Amino acid sequence: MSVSGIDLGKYKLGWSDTQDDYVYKPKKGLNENVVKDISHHKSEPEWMTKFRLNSLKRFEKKPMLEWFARNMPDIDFNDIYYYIKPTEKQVSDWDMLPEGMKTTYERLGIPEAERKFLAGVTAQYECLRGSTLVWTTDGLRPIKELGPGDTVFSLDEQTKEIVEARVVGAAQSGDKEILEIRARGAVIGASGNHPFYVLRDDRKPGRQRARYRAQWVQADDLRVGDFVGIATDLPDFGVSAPLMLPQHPKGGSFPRLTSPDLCWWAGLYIGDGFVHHRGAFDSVEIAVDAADGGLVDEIVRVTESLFGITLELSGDGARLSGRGTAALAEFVQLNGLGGTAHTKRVPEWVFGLPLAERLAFVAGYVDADGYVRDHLRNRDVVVTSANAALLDDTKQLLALCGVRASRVVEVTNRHPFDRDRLMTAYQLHLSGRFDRLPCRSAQRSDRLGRRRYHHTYRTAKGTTFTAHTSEMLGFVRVEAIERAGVEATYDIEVAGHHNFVAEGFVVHNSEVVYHKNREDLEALGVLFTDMDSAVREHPEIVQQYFGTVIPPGDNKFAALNSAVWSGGSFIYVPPGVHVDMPLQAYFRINAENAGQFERTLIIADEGASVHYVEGCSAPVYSSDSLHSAVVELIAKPGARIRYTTIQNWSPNVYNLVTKRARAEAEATVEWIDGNLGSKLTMKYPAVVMTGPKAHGEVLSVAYAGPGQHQDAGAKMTHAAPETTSIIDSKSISKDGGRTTYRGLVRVENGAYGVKSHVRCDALILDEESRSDTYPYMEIEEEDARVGHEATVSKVGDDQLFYLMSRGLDEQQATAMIVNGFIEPITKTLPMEYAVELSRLIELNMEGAVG
Amino acid sequence: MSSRLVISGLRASVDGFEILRGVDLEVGSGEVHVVMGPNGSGKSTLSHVIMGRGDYAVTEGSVALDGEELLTLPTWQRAARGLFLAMQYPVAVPGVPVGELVAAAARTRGDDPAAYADRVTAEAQRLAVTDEFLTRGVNDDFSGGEQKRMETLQLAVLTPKIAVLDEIDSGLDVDALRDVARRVEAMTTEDDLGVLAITHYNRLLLGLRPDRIHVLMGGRIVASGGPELAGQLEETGYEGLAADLGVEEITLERPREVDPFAEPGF
Repeated sequence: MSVSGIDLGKYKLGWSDTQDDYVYKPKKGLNENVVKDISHHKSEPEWMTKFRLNSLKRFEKKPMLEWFARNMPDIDFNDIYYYIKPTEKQVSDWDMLPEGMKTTYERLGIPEAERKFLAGVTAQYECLRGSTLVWTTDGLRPIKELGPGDTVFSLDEQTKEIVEARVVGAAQSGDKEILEIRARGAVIGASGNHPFYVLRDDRKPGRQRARYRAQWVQADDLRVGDFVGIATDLPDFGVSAPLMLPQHPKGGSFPRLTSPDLCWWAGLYIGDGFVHHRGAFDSVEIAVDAADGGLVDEIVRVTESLFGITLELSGDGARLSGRGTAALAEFVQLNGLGGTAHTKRVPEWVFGLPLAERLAFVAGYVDADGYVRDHLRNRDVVVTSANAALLDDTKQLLALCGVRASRVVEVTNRHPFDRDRLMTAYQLHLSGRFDRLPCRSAQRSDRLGRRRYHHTYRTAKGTTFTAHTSEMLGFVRVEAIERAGVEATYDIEVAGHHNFVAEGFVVHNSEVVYHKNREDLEALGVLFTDMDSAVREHPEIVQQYFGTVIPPGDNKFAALNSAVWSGGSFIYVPPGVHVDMPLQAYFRINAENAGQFERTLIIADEGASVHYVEGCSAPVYSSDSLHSAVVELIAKPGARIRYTTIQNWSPNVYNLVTKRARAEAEATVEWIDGNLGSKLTMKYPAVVMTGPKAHGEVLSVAYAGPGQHQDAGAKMTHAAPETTSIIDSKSISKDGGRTTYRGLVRVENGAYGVKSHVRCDALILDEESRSDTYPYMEIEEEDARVGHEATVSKVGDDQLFYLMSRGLDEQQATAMIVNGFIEPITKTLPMEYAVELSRLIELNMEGAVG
Repeated sequence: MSSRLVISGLRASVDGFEILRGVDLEVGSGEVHVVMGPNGSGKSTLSHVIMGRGDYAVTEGSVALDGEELLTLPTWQRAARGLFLAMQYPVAVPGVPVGELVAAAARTRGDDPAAYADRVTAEAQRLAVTDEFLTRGVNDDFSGGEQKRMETLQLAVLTPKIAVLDEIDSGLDVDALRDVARRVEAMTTEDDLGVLAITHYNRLLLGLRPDRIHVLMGGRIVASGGPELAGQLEETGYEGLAADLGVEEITLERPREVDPFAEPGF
């Protein structure tokens, strides 16, 4: 058997095995004796031997398919080694990997995760609930909206300062059980493994003096009474913002940029200002308390100096107004200060100002709506408003200014004149370092300044506690820890100090924490072994499910696999168990002319969930190889299975895989499929939805370079009512590569209320390449909604020229367009696999671009 | 350091049809030059040829930046030398947010991408570009005004020496035009940016305060002058000016542009 037409030089990601060192290597070819031999060598139970022999008969009976003979003329079933037992044992250590494989991993830029995996440990994600507010230079933002490029605040453990830090990665990390941790009015929801910065007393028994030590403690191990780190202040950040100017600035002049004066004025206006519609003209008025003459004078002075407008006190002494302030009214509207007492908000631009301007804004607002309470023991500031949203904005702004504020509370009072009428208002209480507010009303600033007690969060009796605190870092006691149900969670990765400030708390980022994988799994009752061992060690489960989703008679290649299978993974997840970390396996073809026939079986019992990831690679041999795997998934009611494949076979491997899942009632199965290597891939992951409300999903990316054909797609069988499915396929072809989408959506009679959506997008990088789409639908039920959309686009010269005009060379520009194209898929992958997929495509294109 | 873009005797054609018929222009740092001309006078061709788009054949002339000939360099190296083209119809790149784009540009220049990310944030604020447009693929489903704000943002972040603005005033509303013009104007004074703005309307001029106005007709600069030339054009129109100058060919019958996305059947 010879090979022609494959330019091996172009494949750069493979390696070659030079030694031919195998313990057992039967004759090439396929017959009953070979199959018996295989079974014998694996010491299999009798039922498996029978299963294999029956499958062989079916394989022989099935006619050779026409497309096979046409597409794969080089494959001769009698010239294949069906089973080779290599000397290599399962590698358990990075150092045991062949050199070539290591080089490939290094080139992929992801050696770290693989090393750890091979050392028997896995990545673990620490997460926060999606709505968690993170302190960023753009204000407080929900963690789920953060991504690379955002700037958050991070604790430098050495200097105890809070510094700016860049977000370098972000991911949705699945649904997790949430713990709510409550301390000093702040609440944060985190997964049990999320570490917090904690001070614990490590004093030796019998010693009086406490010895506090700062350490990272997982939420699970936090106790009520623990001291957790909070950020009490932030470094200054932000820039003065440009202001919108009125079209017709008649009767005034307007600053182009914010300043402390302008911000104080804006804050005051938010509290007490309004636009009075007087006939055709609008004018700006500010409600004042004539008794506070100092404040009235200050408002008049600032308004004059900022805008050149003179305000005058009205007859009743209750408001300031000026003639010809229409332009000022427009200025107010343009810059987001408009609205009524109930609708005004703190404009977005305020959150990005420098500290002095942010503080001036709050001070202006406090001068308008605030009151400094002069208690004997302490003072605090109360801001009262009818507008709860405005107070919420203020609270967020205060957090960015190092001033703490309470929750917004609702207060009800009786109307002063009509005792039956109840008035509802909202209040915000400020504490902490509010003396830094540059209030200009003497009534307020005097009291702020004369404060007797400074709230610092760093007192603890008889300890060396303060040694651990700073102007920016304090510690508060945990008041309560509660379970708060399961929620979608997110994590971010932060450069530098690997932590960030969320809801005021200092929390660790998702820098991957590795822990012993297998032991954890065993404790949960999860079975995860290779298929060969599973047949021997867990016969009762294997026998019950093996070959039930894809019976040997399904197709010729399934029959072949059933007869000679070897290797693959077996996973069983007991009812209700959620496996947090993705389980992984790597397959490789071991010898020239070898077939790879692995067999994988995954069962998620009721309500369980698991994510399995496989990567496939093969060295480049001089003759073609066959990979024909069978993968069966069974998702019991309410279970969830996600199966991710990144296939990177060398370009002389024929890759024919039968993948099928059974999704029972309310179960979800997702196939995520990246096909990069191989000469020809024919793979159509299927989900058969047998129970009501089951859901199936296939997301796939295919890349076909020179001499490659990726014929991939999906099959969705809706056999029960109200089942739903999504197929999202993306393909890229380049340098004469060919991609095909082939898909089937089948809705059986009686499966009412089915919804299915198919979307396939193809990107063609040059004139020689090709893409085809063959969507099939078989709908036997009237009440079904099946949608299909397909796009084909070429990377236009326009896009390349655009990116190149920004300074990217052609290769970078093409890679960027391609990565953008597959982004909808990569964002569903765990971070390191997303990186791997992008990197693989880049390397493949590099090889082709040359 | 002061820079100078010198275009001399530039002739270019598409499919054998000559569109630029000897263009001479000079733009120095801090200067604002505006090229005005009716539709089909060769304005967009001029901008594309300067940036090195492949569809045009340059038959004669030179485009040099600080004495270095640019016509022999590929587009991205022209960008690396300090040239920027803000496009009339910026194309969408789905899945590639502007941050990623400028980070890649930073890396080719050997700069720290993080610093560029900070500038993106700051410029977004100055140009009133909301977060949504920073996270979405660049120009993907943007309105005309959003596209032009995004072009201006990239211009401000990449800080080139000379910027060619191809009809940056088309397809955007008054607010966006004001923001864009204000930002460009600030760059000419603060960062010494040299601007070659191409337009066929007068309205851009108000915000940009040009030093020189050039009128392009029939592939040649037929008149140059101070800002007053724009006023004159406003009154007479292009045809009137052409009559005054004795120019016969005002517009060129260009071959139709080929849109690669309009091709059916693959």
